[in-house]
Amino acid sequence: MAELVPIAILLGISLLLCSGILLVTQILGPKNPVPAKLGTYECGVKPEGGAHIPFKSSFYLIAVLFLLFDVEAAFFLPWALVYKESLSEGPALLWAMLIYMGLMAVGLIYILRKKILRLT
Amino acid sequence: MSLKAFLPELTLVGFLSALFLLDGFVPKLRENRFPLVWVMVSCLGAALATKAASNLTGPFFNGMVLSNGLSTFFRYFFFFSCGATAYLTLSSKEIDSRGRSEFSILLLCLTFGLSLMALSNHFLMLYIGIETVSIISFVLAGFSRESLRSNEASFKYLVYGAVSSGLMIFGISLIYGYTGTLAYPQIAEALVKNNGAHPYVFYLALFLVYAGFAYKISSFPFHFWTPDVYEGAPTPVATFFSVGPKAAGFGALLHFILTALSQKDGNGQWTMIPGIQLAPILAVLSATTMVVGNLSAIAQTNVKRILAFSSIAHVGYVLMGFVVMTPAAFSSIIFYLIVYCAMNLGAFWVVGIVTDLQGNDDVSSFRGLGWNMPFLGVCMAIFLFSLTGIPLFSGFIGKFLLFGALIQVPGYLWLALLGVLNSVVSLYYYMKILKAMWLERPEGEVKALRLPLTQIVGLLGLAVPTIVLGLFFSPVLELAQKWVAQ
Repeated sequence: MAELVPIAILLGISLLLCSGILLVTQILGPKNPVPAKLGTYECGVKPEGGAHIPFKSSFYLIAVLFLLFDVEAAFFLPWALVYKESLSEGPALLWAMLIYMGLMAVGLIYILRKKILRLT
Repeated sequence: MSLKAFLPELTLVGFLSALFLLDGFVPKLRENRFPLVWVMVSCLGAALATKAASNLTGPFFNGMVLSNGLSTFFRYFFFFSCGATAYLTLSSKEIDSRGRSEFSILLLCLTFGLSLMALSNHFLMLYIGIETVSIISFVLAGFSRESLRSNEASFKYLVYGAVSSGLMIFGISLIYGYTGTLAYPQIAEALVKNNGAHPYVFYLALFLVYAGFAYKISSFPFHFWTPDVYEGAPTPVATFFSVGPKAAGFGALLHFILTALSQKDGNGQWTMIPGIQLAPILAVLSATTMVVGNLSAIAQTNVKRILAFSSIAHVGYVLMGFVVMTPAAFSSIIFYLIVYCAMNLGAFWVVGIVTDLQGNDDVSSFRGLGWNMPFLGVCMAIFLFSLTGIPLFSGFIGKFLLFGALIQVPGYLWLALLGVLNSVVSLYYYMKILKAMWLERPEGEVKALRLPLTQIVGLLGLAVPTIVLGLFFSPVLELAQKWVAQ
């Protein structure tokens, strides 16, 4: 229990500090609510239109796919390092990688067939 | 060896890849119900593969995944509930031809994730399983893209999921710091060696890890997403959520507690590693979960929300089985999950039919349905009586076995009594639905519909086990005992 005392002190100080700062700004801070101050901040320009509008996000899927295939490539490197040694224990690692590549290929074919990479 | 033991999941992935390609090359297939039939075929194939692989026990994939009797049970359970969900989606109006293939693909992916989750023997595997399930669940919850409620459900699910998996991974990191490993069997060894040193760190870590499990099984205090998600998600999706991911959470929790936190002695009994006291904590969690679930359900007027809170209460009952670590308790958990699967799928199925018919799922839209559609009314009555735990129905046997296992161990009589009291409370809100169905007159014109044969067969397929398991349960119970012992 004694070793937890420093943590408790740290917790207490941080709690005091947080609540203290909030309290001080609440008490001392000037309150001058004008419409420009209460409005949405949009880089200093007057806000225009609603915030809840649908917007085109066609690059989002490309980003997701890039991430996916990038991670796939990252898996190949450690596999290539241990592959040679594992051959003595049978071809299990080869099968595992083939299954993995097959799944990725299925995904790629699906993407191409669904015309996701066509941006227009 | 590893690939052979993984055959059920590989079968599922094979069918899944084929569905991807079929959907890509033959876009016409989504016009009819082919993708859903394909899901049922894949579940059948995976179940057969489970049968073939059921005698291969032990850890595989370098100890990442554990195959034993419990794994076999959970695989069967997931494949059955996935197939049943696909079957009930056949006639659903909420999943129409535009989304049918995507729904089928996501359902199969989700089932694969559930399997990974329940079989995991390593924290990394568990985390990957939970994330696989979660991410697909977020998409499925928001599957009706035009519906604001569905979008809201998806978003809420995402926020809660992010928080709880963040907590869980923090807990996992603490456990790694405490034991120096992430594999369950090695964690058990390290815990024996540590012999209860630094209990604060350890219990904090356990609580944080439990956040992940609790989110998946929707146990108190991580249950808040359940009613909103079930209400907003399309009914077939809510049906699957109420059965599949919950069972996967219980499977993962069972494997975690049995492999990482306890030791098995010679005569098949599990004992907690010395210095770990989980029973009182789990008892409190179980008690609060069922009380919160039942009391919140009372005030609800939406049937899906009622069923969501009732599912939280049922999680509380199942958690009672975790309090006592006896084989009898584990086999009664399995029995309860089987029974719960039948009756809950059935109840949600009826809700789905009524939602398609009336356009909403408030209790008021059930008014008078019992007299207009007697078959539907009788089935709903069977499912709800069974969910309450009234004798002669299987829900009673399930609860009876759980309470029975609990009072074998001294000190937990209060929990069993609380469970009985909660069953009484639950009678009120289940009967609210039945009262609307049989004792109230519908407003305006009477809508009734002749159920198609597929629906009748499906509902009978769930209603008959709900009754039969209440009278003739020993074969299933023996099967459950076999799975636990293996």
